[in-house]
Amino acid sequence: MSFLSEAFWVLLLGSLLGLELIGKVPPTLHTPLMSGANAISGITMLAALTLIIKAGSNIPLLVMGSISLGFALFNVVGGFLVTDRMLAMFSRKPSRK
Amino acid sequence: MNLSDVLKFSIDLLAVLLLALGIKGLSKVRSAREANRLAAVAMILATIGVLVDSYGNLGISIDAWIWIILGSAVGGLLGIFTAKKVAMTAMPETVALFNGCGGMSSLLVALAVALFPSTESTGELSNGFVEIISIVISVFVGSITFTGSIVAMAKLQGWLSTPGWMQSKIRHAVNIGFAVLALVSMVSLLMGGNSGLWLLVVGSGLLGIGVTMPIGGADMPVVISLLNSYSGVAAAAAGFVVGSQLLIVAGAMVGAAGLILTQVMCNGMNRSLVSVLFGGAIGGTPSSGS
Repeated sequence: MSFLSEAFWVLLLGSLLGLELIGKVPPTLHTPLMSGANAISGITMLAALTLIIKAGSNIPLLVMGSISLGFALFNVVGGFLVTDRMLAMFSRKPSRK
Repeated sequence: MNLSDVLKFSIDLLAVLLLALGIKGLSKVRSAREANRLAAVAMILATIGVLVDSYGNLGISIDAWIWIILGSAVGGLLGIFTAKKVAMTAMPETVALFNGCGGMSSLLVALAVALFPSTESTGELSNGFVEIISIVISVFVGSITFTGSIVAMAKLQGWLSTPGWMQSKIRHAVNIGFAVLALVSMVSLLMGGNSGLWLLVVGSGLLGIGVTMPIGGADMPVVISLLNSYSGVAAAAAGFVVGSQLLIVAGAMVGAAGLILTQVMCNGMNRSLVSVLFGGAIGGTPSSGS
């Protein structure tokens, strides 16, 4: 039960933090921010990883975990790289504040 | 608390801090690129944390390693390939594709735990009811995120056009039908048994398609941002399913920040979220009519 009550506190505080984290966002950064946040939401790969490690010798579970891990990693790796490509376009312009 | 627990705990704290700083930094032009890298580092740290923890407590079998490496190699390489090859003009649909896959991952995790209940063995969630609820939420939101994102991507790519009846009022009735279908399956899942599971997957998937299909191309980035927020919620729910606080906090952060970003994007376009979601491709609101 202690995990559960802690988990709800974590959920509440995490949500509040997320609400406060971004205030004003310049329009050029809308898509990169969306893409970056999207890459972070691929953190479910940790759940997939945990699933595989705890699966033991249950083959269907291992396969499902592996597919899930693949999807999540596609999201994470692709997400960060694409965000970086987008942001690289900004930095080339010299000192636009 | 042994050494690996302490190590895992500190790594998790650091990862959450870096993720928060990453999201914060991404909203300013000057710090955006570093912030993105910071978030990527946080992600790697978090992965190491899980591996250290499992290694210290249970050990990781050879079988597990094989499947981990297989899954991550395929997903990671495809991710690198897609990110490098895609055209700069096709960014919103690429984000939608990635986002859909994130939703799919949460969906699969919840499905796996629901289908093989004997193996979940986290023990932390002794309260079965909360576990079922978090599985239901994860499946529901994950499925909507997946189909919605794929439809958004296909529409932006021009692979799909909105069928005529989808622009009429009938679509609301159809979508309500899908929502009821999903709701019924949720109730049956909460009553016990797995019979409603696939119905829930299909129902919420159809709901995702039905809600996204009528939305016009100009509004699509807003919808993708909203779907991104959903995938954060799905990740948080998956965190409840496997009992990981790091997942819960990261998912909640992305969910809330995505919601704010959606609102900001709506304001930028002088549209309200309601009119984006329910106005349809041609309907438009009085304020946006040219």
